[in-house]
Amino acid sequence: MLTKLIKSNFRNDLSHMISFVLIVVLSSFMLQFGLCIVMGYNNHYDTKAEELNSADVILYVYQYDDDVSNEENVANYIENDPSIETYEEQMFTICECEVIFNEDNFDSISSEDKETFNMRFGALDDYGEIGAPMFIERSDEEYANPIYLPYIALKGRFRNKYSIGDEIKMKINGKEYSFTLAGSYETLSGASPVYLSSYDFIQIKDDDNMNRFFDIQLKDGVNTEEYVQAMLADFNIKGLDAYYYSLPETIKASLYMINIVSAILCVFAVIITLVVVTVIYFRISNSIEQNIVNLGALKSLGYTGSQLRLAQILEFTITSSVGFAISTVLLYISLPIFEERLLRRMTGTIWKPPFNLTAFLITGAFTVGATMIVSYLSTMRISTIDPVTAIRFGLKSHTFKKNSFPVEITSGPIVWILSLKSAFRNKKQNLLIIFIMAVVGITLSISVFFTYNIAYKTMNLYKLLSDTSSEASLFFEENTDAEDIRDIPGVDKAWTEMSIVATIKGTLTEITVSDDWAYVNNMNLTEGRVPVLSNEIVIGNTLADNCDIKVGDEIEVACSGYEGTYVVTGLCQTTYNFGVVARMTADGLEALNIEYSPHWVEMTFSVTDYESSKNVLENIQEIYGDKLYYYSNAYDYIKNGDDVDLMVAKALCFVFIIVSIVIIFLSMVLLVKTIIIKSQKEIGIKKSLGFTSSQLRMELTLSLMPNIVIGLAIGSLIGFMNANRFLSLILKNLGIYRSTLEELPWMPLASVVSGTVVTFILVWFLSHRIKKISAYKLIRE
Amino acid sequence: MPKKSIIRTEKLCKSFSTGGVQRHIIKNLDTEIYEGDFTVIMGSSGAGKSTLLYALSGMDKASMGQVYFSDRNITNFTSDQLAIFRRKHCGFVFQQVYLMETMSVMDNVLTAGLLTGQNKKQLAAKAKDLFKKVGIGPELWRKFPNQLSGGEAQRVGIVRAVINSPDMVFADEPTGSLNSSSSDAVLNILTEINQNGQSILMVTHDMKSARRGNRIIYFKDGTICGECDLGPYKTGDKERHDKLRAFLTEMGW
Repeated sequence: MLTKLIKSNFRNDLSHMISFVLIVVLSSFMLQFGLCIVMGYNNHYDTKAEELNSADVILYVYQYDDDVSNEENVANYIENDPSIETYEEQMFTICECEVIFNEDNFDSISSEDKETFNMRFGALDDYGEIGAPMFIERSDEEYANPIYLPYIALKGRFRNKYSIGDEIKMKINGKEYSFTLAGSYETLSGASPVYLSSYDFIQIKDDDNMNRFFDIQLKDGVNTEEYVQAMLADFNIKGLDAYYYSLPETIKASLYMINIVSAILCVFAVIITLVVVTVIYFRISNSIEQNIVNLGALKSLGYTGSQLRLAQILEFTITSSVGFAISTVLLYISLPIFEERLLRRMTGTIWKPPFNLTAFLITGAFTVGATMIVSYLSTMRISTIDPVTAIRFGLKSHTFKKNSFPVEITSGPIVWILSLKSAFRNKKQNLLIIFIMAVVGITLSISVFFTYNIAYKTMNLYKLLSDTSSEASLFFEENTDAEDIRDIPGVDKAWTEMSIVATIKGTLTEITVSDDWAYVNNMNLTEGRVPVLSNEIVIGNTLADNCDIKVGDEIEVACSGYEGTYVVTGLCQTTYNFGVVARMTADGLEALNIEYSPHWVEMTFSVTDYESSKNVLENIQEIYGDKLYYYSNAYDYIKNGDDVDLMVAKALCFVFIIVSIVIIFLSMVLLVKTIIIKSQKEIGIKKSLGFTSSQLRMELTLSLMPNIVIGLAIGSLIGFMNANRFLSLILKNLGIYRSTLEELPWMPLASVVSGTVVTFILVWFLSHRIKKISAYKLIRE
Repeated sequence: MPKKSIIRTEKLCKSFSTGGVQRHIIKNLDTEIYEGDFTVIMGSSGAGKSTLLYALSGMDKASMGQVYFSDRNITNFTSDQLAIFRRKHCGFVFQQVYLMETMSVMDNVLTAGLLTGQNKKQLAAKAKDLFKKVGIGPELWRKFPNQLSGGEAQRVGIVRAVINSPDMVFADEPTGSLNSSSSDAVLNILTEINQNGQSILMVTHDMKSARRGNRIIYFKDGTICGECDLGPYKTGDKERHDKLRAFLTEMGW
């Protein structure tokens, strides 16, 4: 009996159920995807670290022929450290290298044609057991001059421009070389070397610049982060110089984008699920009103209230289960594709997504559970239906106390008046529309905000995520100052910088030093002011949080055996080093016994497009000639679109827009169909009076618009006012505590207008079903 | 003086397909409905009376043949053309009344009237006048249909049907769901508006209702079997009653 009832419900509701399945597929896909990648990658790194036999800590020192005491002391320290399980020593050279992307412009110093960075080089034959390269791709051919790159470098620094067998032109320590890409490998090390043949390695290595690397694996139970801090503190006391990479920090760097993507997907999945349950509530309420006579008749035939409720609950539960099942299948089909195309580029490692039971159960429980609970609550009314009353009178609530917009006194064409009457008639329906459109408004305004700041004015996001909001960096052979550069046409601001690594409250901190911070375009201060005096310092928010430092506090800064006391004048935000940074003045360096000798200048442009910025830099190159050996232009990176972070940010913009459109589409499909079915009698009567289908479609479309606009306006304002807060929340772990992307007054307006236009067109299109309703059909039925 | 034809059919056919079986409801019908007449279509239940009424009014499309309304061939009109045609030339009174439940009594009537582009003030005045004539007092104008009795609702339905002064009022069993006194009131109104020149085409299987018409058409097996001219209606006209009874008996009713 119950099966028949469920089948009958499905038959009557088939088109609704298809739309419903689609919206469930989308929400559960996003939720399960988000959960799968965040859980999967967290586990993945543990197993990958074992698989790659990664070092917990990589420590390296510079070798000096005339003084071997530092390296020997460090080696002794490691040799005698009881926390170390095992370690390997290897010799590498860290060279300054330039990758030439454009052979025709071999001597160019522009970041458009080449990338300049320091890279660790080693011989492929010499690698040990710890952190040995595990190849993702490797050529079977024997090349005379093979080069093997970490996969993440191939996709990042090498700008994803090379495939196996391609020639890579490089300048290493000023000499030109040509290599053939022979393979790329997975790594979890933040200092993964570029491997060359032994012959080539001997050619390029700089005997005056060799580094002794210690790949260290710690004993079980030793906390790597705590160990590193303690070791650095020891080194500081003993006056030892060593640099390090730790596995947790590398993993944290790889995971941050995964976590952001996952968080956004999960938030949007929850939002869509809220829309789904609202639509279910609306659908069931309407269904009860429409079928009140049938329900009464079924009760009189002997069906109990529980049976009738169960039929409806099962109808929606089965549908959402089907949607959930489809989404799971789609997820595990598409996940390997996402992994290969996007996630692998972000992490540099191969992840074979396993079936994640926890994500499956959480998503299933959330999606299907929410559907069941809402169906259960929405069908409660069925229990109270009295069969006789239902059959004779329908729903008792079917009275109208107020005749809104009486035709006699309301101005305007009849279609307009009828739209107004319909618009304010059904409070429950209106609240539903306002709620759904408010959700759409939130996603749309965030989409507009992101699209403007990420896709259109990408520089805004670049500056937010960058260190000191510079737009170009100029690297000079010698000490330089920025004064003359400021006078060059097209230059807005210019300032010199140098960086040191020091310890603040036991935390190794990247400190940027400038001669005058007043010139810095935007230090991304979230509190306080820039440092002006020699005893002033600004620190990153993350460092401040980690070490409980506030503006006005005095802190000790230690570097190479010297210490200085500084007053914290402000807090700044940056993604650089995850916000573990500080800024001080050139005079402030004296206390640390370091001379201010800047070799680079940071600058911003007074021009705002790629071509003009390129001209400005070419002009600077002409003026400074050989003194300037490299410059980077942020507009290059934006134009190339190779930056993974920007790529992901743009992909998320796309997700926001798609989610908005999908919510509008599916909710309107369900809503418009329900309204048409509910009012088909009235539509038939109006047709008999002489209303055309177009008039009735326009009436329906216009009647939804006031609530759609109200909902969109509310949602757009909420989204607009909280867009930067939302971004700050998801970027907090990266070091961005207060997002300051541009919020322009037209943004909420744009989302309201675009949402209204899209909805208007969609409702008009969906209302074509009105054409099928004939006056005669109404009478015959 | 010969009567002027408003509706004329040529070889009108109407068929339905039910479960793959073709049913011919109207078969090659040639007939005319005249201006100023109160024409009544009678027939047994399921004979296709209502189908004929809606085919003649342009509410439903003919399967074959032609329908001329005021000398215009409406057979090939699109749905929208028919809708525009209906609003200007036809008024409908249904058995189930079909007032719009979400609108007040006044709004129901004005909504139909405003479709023809009439001046709203004049239209409202006309509606109020008509309401008074059919016995719908001002206290009911702002009520909703579910707050009216069946008879009151049908009287509102008649006002809605005539608000645009249509060429023809089509009435489909207008007293079918009313009690005796309400039926009389509705029939009196229809008779009165007919006497004021309004053409009416009514379908009924009730002899008491049919007696109000001046021309009775008996519809059977998809065609018109016979006609009876009763002449103008007069209250308590026994001869008229007997003539109708004899006609119907002859038709096998």
